[in-house]
Formats: sequence, structure tokens, C-alpha cells
Amino acid sequence: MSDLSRLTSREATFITRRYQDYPGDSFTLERARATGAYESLKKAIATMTPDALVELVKASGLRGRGGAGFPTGNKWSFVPRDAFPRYLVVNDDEGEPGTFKDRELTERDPHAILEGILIAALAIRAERAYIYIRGEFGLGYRRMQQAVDDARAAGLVGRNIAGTDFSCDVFIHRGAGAYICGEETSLLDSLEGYRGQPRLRPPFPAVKGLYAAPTVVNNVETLANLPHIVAHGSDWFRTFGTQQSPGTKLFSISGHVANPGNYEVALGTTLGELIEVAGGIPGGRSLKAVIPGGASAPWVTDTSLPMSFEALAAAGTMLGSGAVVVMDDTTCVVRMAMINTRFFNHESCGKCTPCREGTWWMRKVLERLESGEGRPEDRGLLLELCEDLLPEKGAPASGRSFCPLGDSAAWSLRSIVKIFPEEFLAHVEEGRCPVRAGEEAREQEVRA
Amino acid sequence: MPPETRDTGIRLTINGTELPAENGHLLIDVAESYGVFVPRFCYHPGMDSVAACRMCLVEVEGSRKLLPACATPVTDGMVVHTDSTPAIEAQRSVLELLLINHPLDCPICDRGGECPLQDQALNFGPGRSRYREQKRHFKKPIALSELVMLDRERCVLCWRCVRFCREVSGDKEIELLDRGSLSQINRGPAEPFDSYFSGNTIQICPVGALTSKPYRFLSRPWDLLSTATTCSFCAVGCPLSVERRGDEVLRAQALPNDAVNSFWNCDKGRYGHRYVSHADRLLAPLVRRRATMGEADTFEDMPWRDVLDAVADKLTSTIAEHGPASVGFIGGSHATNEDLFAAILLFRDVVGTPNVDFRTFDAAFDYGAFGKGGVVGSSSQFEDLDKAHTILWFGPDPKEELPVLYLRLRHAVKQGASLLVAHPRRISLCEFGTHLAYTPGREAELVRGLVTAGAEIPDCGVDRELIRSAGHALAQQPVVVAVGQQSPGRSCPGAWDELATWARSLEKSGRATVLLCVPNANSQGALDMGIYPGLDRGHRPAPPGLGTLEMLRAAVDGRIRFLWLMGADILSDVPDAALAEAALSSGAYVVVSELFPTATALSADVILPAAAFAEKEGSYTNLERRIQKTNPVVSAPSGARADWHVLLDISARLGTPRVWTSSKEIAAEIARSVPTHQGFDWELLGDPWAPVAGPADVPPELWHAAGENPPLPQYQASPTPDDLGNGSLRLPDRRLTTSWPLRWELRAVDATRRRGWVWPGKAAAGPNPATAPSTPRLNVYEDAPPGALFLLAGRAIYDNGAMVSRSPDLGVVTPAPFVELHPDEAASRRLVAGSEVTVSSPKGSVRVPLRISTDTPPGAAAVPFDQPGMSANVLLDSSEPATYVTVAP
Repeated sequence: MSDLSRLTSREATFITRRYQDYPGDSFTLERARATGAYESLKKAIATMTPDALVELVKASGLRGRGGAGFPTGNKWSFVPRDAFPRYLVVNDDEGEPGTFKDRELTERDPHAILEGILIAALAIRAERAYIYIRGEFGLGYRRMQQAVDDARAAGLVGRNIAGTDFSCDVFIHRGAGAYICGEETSLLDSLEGYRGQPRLRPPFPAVKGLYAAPTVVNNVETLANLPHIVAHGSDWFRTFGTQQSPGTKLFSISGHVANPGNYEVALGTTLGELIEVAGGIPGGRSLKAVIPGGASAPWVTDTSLPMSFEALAAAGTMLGSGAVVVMDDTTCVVRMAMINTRFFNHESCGKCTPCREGTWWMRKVLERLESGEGRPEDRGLLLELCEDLLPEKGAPASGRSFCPLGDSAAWSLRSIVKIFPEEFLAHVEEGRCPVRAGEEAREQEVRA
Repeated sequence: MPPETRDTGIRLTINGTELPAENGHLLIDVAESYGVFVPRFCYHPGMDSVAACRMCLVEVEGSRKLLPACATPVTDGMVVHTDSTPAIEAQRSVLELLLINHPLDCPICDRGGECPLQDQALNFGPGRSRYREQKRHFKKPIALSELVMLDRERCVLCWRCVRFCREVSGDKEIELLDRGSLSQINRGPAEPFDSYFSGNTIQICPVGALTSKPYRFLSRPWDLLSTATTCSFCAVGCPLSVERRGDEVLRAQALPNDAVNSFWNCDKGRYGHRYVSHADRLLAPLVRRRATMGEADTFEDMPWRDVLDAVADKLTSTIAEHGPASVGFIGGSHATNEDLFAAILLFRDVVGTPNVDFRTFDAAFDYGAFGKGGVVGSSSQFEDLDKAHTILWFGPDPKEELPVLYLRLRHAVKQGASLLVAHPRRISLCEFGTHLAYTPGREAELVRGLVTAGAEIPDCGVDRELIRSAGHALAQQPVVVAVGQQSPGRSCPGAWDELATWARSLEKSGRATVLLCVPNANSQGALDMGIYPGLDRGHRPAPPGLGTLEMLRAAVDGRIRFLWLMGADILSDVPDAALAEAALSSGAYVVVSELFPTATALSADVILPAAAFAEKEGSYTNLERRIQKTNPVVSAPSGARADWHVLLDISARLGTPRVWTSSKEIAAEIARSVPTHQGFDWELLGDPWAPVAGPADVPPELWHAAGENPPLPQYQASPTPDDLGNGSLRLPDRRLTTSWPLRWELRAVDATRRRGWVWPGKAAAGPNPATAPSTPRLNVYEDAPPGALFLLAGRAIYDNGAMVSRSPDLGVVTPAPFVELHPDEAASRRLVAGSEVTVSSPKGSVRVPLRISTDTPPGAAAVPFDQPGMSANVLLDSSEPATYVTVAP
């Protein structure tokens, strides 16, 4: 246990520090400033050129926390040098099932995000930033708006920030409830007022993004790291995490754990440790499977896996947004697969054929299976459909759909079917869901 | 991009063969140009790529995923496989997915037999589906409009129709609604899809989701015979395929020509041609029998030989008694060049009258003012619009009168041209152009302001700064100045002279070109053939003669004793109904050559039934001087004859026999004797059905390499269940098709195949003798009687014309008449929108419903020119440059 407390100790964490220490008012400007907010911004404005900032973040090895894990400094450096205006767009449209870390950051430490936004804007020389905030975030939206208003009143947002010649205004746009708008080009279309659907790439947003101007889209957790990197340097940052995944990460742990919630731990912490940090699996039940990185990620069963971008990629899955869903032995994987696929089908934007029709078909088959009307060929059919969307022998992300949504649906479903073939067969053979049948039997026993 | 900076000369490898290509061209087009067909649904060469359907996925070496060929530009050294196992597996899978929710109701689908989904399912699909679930259901079909039906179950969500409405027509009336698998194309509940271009969405739909309401269930495509021809309505001259079954025209579709219409046409051109088989068609020559004792006159049939004798006798006697100048000819703007050449031969050469004019509703417009160094016609072509820096539009509302030119203007603005729209009303172009909303009647003042770049600005109602900035825009180059009649009946010769002089001087310095927006399919041909006072064939000067209005006045005076009206319905078209009526009842002998018993025809002495557009061969010249072929589709009614035939018969009876027996021979004579048309040859107009691109068009050494075998038959045999039963993939041997596999799926290359022939617009320099420059008459508006409104008449796309009103498919969309007032004018008269009001001028009055809109400026009343139940020409007074009306309850 001492080992576990070390994982979440003061020394091992920094992103959540402010609201861990001051849970009552961490979101206010006063508290934030009292705990060092905007000092990094001032330091960056006073002492660093935009290029030096980009180099610092490159050196820190910070990778995007939204899901793809792309190195943030590299992303920034793709912006053409002399094209203006340019925009920073903040992706606060957290929609990956199982993920709730951006919501917590937004509600509890909006000034950390805002400071990160201003540092990023300084680095890419943007004078406007748009926060695309998930429509369902009510409290988060109000706190974020309050933070922007307060910071503007304090001269920290807008023209001539903190009396310098750096200017950046920040605007908040509320989403309207589409998962696809978390995909950066869909987000940009939605922000421009269009139907949220992915755009053709190239041109990439860094070259032609919002309103056809160079645009960087960053996740809020990524941005919340920036003040710390500016304050303490890249070497300090690299003391956390692994060589290829430096830093800490907010993991949203849900499912069959005693204390579901967000936990900040260093990248590279093993899956087993993480589950223990969240209190372990209750009721003496055993682990069946884990979704390691949101609904898009293939499932794993090995708890010794280090939670880092590279280790999970090597294991054929991904760290994604850091949403860890723990399932114990009472879970029906067919039902879980159905719920997952239903989600992807519901959230498919409809633009491209493989995703629109493929997720529809998978969902139909899974719903049939789960309701006891499965056919012997269904398991094979599901694998074939996964193959249609995302050929297995191809390279990663080599799917046929327009954007990764279709790939994700196939990627995760294939892992489920492959790990638990017998459960799919049992559904067909018994003509009903065996797990649910067992549950019902137990309930009846208890009642008797 | 100018050719010298265009990057060419890259080489890429397609299916194992290294081929030259132009950098940046889309892979799908490059492959196609070598006969390698990549299947597609969402890609259309007339619109931006979206890469949504994923049907065109191909393997590009070095790319971790398959790439959509429609959105992948070719680069040097690219190695592409369209027929590798990954590519074929992807195409097969996408097709199966597209079909899982498709109802497969091909036997009752209009598209069956010419359906890209059907054809590509046969060529690229798996043959059998693994889908055993319930399909998605929608209510079907639903009417998007009176012309377009939608079956959402058949839709494959390729977005083509939505993209057409967004990108091309700008009528954003249909959209993709809902999301994911439940996405559907639809319109707002209260907003019908009433775009003037709606039919294009049907033509580009790659499945049977959008079908034509008038054509529904009329025929199977394999029973239709298609003939390429040119649209007979406006002066844009869109190439058209008219399709018949038996001897009945059932459908028309747009043919592509990137110089004229790109891939599009308007709904009038698409749905308006079935008038040719209307029951009203005249079937035999009719001669008036004068009644006695108060009975009504009657018409009786007469054999052609007798009627021609009678007309020739009358013509001879009129010349003998009153001289050749007592003969007049009006009309022909819808006739072919060959008809018009026969007409001018008869009237100018044989009869010897100078009184010939093609103008009807544009009778008050002075085309002569725009004679370009002697040539009355455009110096621009439509393609110049795309390159223009500034376009000055000083013409009618093109969306109503020249619809496809509206699309081209929209495209030009998208390409970066700045558009200045000089019009007193807010017309369609104002949506993307700068509106120079001049006070009605002050054309001359506005022109002065523009010509002097704002140095001199007489009061014309347009803001000074706006005029100055317009002047600056016009100082850039290249500039295209488009002019045409804005309001029938309005004459302002001074303004046009000044504008023309200015434009001509810009033209000389190479900074500008002029687009003369004549109205009808062959108005320009009529100018070329000398059907205009003072202008002979090939734009040579002719002795001064009378124009349409002058001829009608002369008929009333008794100076014109013989009037030949060729397809000219002067009672409803000439902007002075009273004058036309007086002329017809003046006692002059009137011969009318017509398709239908129009009111004008019924006032004539002799009615000659004419062959219609789809019944004869010939050529039309569009407003950019481009000559295109028109071809017979169906046979003419037994009694109807082509105009050229009739006119030559009369010439022969007057002692000048000609040996021409076909319009092709007349075309050859035009090439011989009309100086501007030297080199004119029907063969130059291109064979519309020339073999499409395929190995035959590719240098033999290349196509031999591209596919090592001689061409295979067009279709792969459809796989039998046995082929697929074991789950193995059966690959076709080769993906090279010898001919285009998709009927009605048009390609970029089709649009370059048949461009027509633009006659060289060079002729003797010097001002046209047909026009004597007149001094601008400024401040006409000040002459307005108190309380009166300046009458702005405008032609509407669907009007009460002889052809449109007899097109069964357009009956449903012809709008009703109205008068439109500015809210202030309506308020000051206490008039309520929708109420019936009386519009009166000194000449007459009409009762029409009132519309209120700020589109019409204060001080004016706007009416459509010719609508069922209302002819604006009842109000118009051709002796005045403008007409003022009062509007009262």
C-alpha cells in the first residue's frame, strides 16, 4: 500500500495539485493566483521567444492527452511561419466513453487550462483561441466562462496581457452533443457553424484549419501541463513517466473498482497498480478484461502492462484518452460489445460508407446475439465486418473509413471477439445471454 | 493557371505501366484518361471531391492506408494499383455495405438500366450479400417539389445533390439531415425544392433516389433513343440530349461542355421541351376566310402548294403596288441559322426590303450600339468570366433569363472575380455581387459615373463611394462587361452608346471584353444572318430599314402592307400590346409561321405550320458567338415544314430558285457567302456521341502497356454464387474497360469533346453604320408624373410563352402573375400584400396580386413580363423611353 500511496503522492503529481489542496475554491482566480497561476505565463512572455517555447515543449516530450498522443511541440512546429491570422482551438469536447478527466479539470482548475492556452497561443503566435467545450458540461462551461471573464478583467486575457505586447483573446463555444466533434477537423467544422463532419486531409489544420487559417488543436489536459513545463523545465518534466511518454496522466478509472474516479499517476504505471490505486476490484471477484484507453481501444487482460503510449501500442491497443474501464467476471462481453458498437453506430456521422453502414450492420448482429437470436456464423461475420472496416494485416490506422471513428469501432470489437470467442458461441448455443441467465438464477436463489 | 507556369511532365505508374501525367490532377481522372476505370459514387468532375463513399479506394505504394483516388492528386513517381487485392477487396466491401440498406427494387426503379450503382455492383461488387438483417426503412417516395421525387431508401448518401445545391446553384434547399445510419437527404417541411436547377440533381444521382416526377415510370432507359442537340430556349445554348421513345420526346438531359454549361442545365431546358408533341400543334396551313355580315372569320385548311402560291402572289403584287419597302419580316430568334439564311435571302435579296428584325420583347433594345468594330456581338466567351478580375453586369436577371450563365457567374465569383451588378432591382446576382442599385430610369447617369471612374457622378441613386470603388474595380484587368436588356420596353440609347464606346475603348487596349446578352437561342444567329435593320449577313452594313416597332407603326400607317412573322408572337411579346394589335388589324397581309395557334397567329391571314426545334437539323449561335448543332429527334407532324424549306419555296416562286435541298447545304452556303462564317462547317461542331475515352484515345503504345491484352468486353460477368460459395476472392483479370461503363455518368473528358465553333469575331473596324450615336438623355426619371411608379418589367424563367405554356412538365411550376412594390410605396397607398390591385398605365391596366418586397426600389413597380393571366406589354408604351404606372386597390 505504501507503494500505491507513493504513486499519488504530492511529489508524484502536479496537474491535480491545486484542486487536491484547495478543493473548495481551486477554480477561482484568487486561489489560482495565490497558488502560482499565470506566473509561468509571465515568465514565458518575459523570457522566451515563441520558437524557444516550441523547443522547450519538444524537449519535454509532452504528448497530446486527447487520445492520439502526438508530440505537442511537433504539432506546433507544423504551423507555417508567415501565415496570419492563426488560431488555437482547445478541444474540451470530451466524449470518449469512460473518459471524464477533462470535465474535472475544466470544473476544478479552469485557470490552469487558461494559462496553458495563453502559453500555447504565445508559442504559435495566435491572437485568438477558441475553447470548444462539450455541450453537456454545464458547471464546467460556467466555471470556464467565469475564469475567462475574471482573467480578462485582471488583464490576463485580451489585449496587452499583463502589460506586455502579447495579446490573445479567448472565446468559448459550446458543442451540441456529437462524439465526432472531438475529432479535430469535425470540431473545426462545427465551430464554423457547419454540420460536424471530418474534413478531407490534406490540408491539415496546422496549414488550413479554422476559417482556412493555420490552426492548432490541443486537448485541455495537454494545455494544463504547459505551465508546469514552463515553470520547471523539460528535464524536470521528464523525471515523470517513461522515456517515450514523459509526464503524468489523468486516468479516468471506472467500472468494477471500489473507488472509480480520476487519478493522476506517472505514465508507465502498470495497469494492475492503477486498478489498485482505484481501490481494486470489490467483492472478491476477479478481473475479466480492461478497456485501457476509452471505447476505441482494444481490450486487454494483462494487468502487468505499463500504461504508456508505447507499451500499449506494442500490446496492440492504445493509451487513448486514459479512460480505463475495468470489467470483472460478472460482465457479459457480448452485451458490452453491443453497447460499445451501438455507441459508435449512434455517433457515426454518416459521411462515409464503411463507418455508417458497417457499424449499423455490426450493431444489428450484436443486438441479435445478445437477445438470444444469434446464428452460428455470427462470430465469423463480426470478424469479417471488422476486417471490412479495418484490414487486420494492414498497418495501424489503415482503415477504409474517412476518419478513425470507423477504425475504432472495428478495432475494439475485433479484440473482444478474439479474446472471448466462447462467450459469443455460448450466446448462440444457449439462445440467450449466459451471464444474464446466471445473474437471474442467483437472484432467484437469493429470493428463495 | 497560365500554361507556362503549369507544372507538367510527371510520370506515375498505374497497374504496372509508367505513364505521363500532369502534376496535381486527380488520380481518378488520370487513371480514367488511360482507360483505367476507378469505381465511384460521390466523385463528380463538376464539383469538389469529398471522398465520402470510399468506392474509389486504390493502393498507392508508400501509403499506409488505401487512398481515395478522387481526392488524391498525382505526384511524380507515384505507384498506383487499382487492381491489387487490397484495392479490389476494399471496393468489393464498400459495394456490399452500400447495398445492405438499398432496397434493390431495380425492377420498379426509373434508374434501372442506367444506374451507376447497378453497373458498378455488377463490375465491382461481391455478387452476394452476407446481410441478413432488417433493412433501414423510410417513407417512400416523397415529393421534394413538383419535379423531383425522393426515395431515401435507395439513397447511398453520396452528397452529390446536396453539394450541387451548395456549390453550384447556391439554392441550399436540400440538406443532409440526421446523423450516421439514419442520415437522410431532405428539405425543410415548408420549403419546397424549387431551384431552377433542381433537375441536375436527378441526373447526377448515382442511384434511383432522386427521380423526375414527370418522367416517372414513363419508360425504361433501354427503350429510349438519345439525340444530342442544343437547347432551344435561351441564348446560353446548353448542349442537350433529347430522348425519345417511338416518336415521342420523353426526357431531356444536360450534355457537358466546359465552355458553355459545364455539366448543368436549367429546369426549363430539361423539362420544357415536350411542347413539341403538344396537341395544339398546327398540322396544316390555314388561310383566313373573311366572314360577311357580322360573323366571325374562320380558317380553312389549304394544301401547301396552293398556300405557297397564294402567299407568293400576294408578295409579288404588294411589291408591284407598294414597292419592296412595304414588306417586313419579324422574328426568328428561335429559328436555326439555316432558316434565317433562307429568310434573309428571300427578304433582302429577292424581295429587296430593308425591313427585317428578329426582336420581339427586346424590340426597344438597341443591339447596334454594341457593334464591336462592326460586329454586333460578344467579344467575350463564358470562359473569360472565370479569369476576369471584375465583371460588370448591366443586363437582365440571368437566373431568370439566362439561367446557366447565372451558374457561370456564380462560379466566376467563387474563382475570385468581383462582380458589379447594375440593376434597379435586387436581382439574384446581388447575393454574391456588389449591387449598384441605381434609381430606375437613370442608366445613363450610372454609366457616366462608372465610365469616369467616379470623377463625374450625376445623381443616379448609388452611393458615391460605391461608384468610386466600382470604378477602381473596373480599372483592373481583365474586365468583362455584360450588357443586355433589363426591362422590356425600356429604351435608353444614350446610356448604351456611352457604355459601348467605353467598353470598346477598353477592348481595344486589351483590358476588357464585352458579353452582349441577347435573349434567345438564336438571337445572335439572327444578327449574324442580317435579320436586323441596317445589318446584313456577316455584320456588313445594309441600307437603313425599319425595326420591329417601326414596322408595326408603319403597318398602322399603311406603309407596310405585307408582314411575315416567323415564330414571333407579337401580341404577347412586343412591348406594346396596343401597337401590335393595331398593326395586326391594319389591313396589312400577315403571314405567320408558327407551331401553335397563338393569338398572333389567329389574327393573321395565313398560318403556316412550322417544324419545331426537335424536328429539324440546323445550328444555333449562342450569345458568345458559339455555333452548336441542333438535331432532329422526332419527326415533324405531317403537315409541318421547316421554315427554310418554306422560304426557299417562296423565293423560287418569286423567280429565284435555289438548289439547296437540306439545311446542311445551306450551312455550306453560309460558309461560302457570309464573311464572318468562313470555315463554318457542321463537322467542326463535333460529334456528340464520339467514342468516349478509353484505350482507343490513348496512344497505342501506352494502352498496350496499360493492359497487355486487347480490350475486354465492357462488363465483367457477374459472379455466380458458386464462385463465391467457398469464400475465396475471385479477382477479375484486368481492370481496363474498353468503353465507359456508366450510362449518364458524365466525365471531365466528355466536357471537352464537343465545344462547338466560335466564329472569329473580327470584322472591318469603325462604328457600325446601323447606329447613329445619340446624346444621352439624362434625368428621365424627373419626367415621372406625380404619384406614378416607374414600371420595371422582367422576364421570368417560367412564363406564358408559346412553348413554355405548352410544356406539360412545366405547367406545375409556372408562377402566377404579380406586381411587386417597395414596402414604403405599398404603405403610402394603403395596400396589403396578397390583395388584388389594379396596375394602370396610359395604355391599359391589369389586375394582379400584390407582392411587397424591398427587392424593388421605392418609386418603381416590378412585374413579370408575360405570365398566365397577365401580359405586361398591355401597360407598355413603346413610343416612350419608359412607362409609368399607378397602382391602386
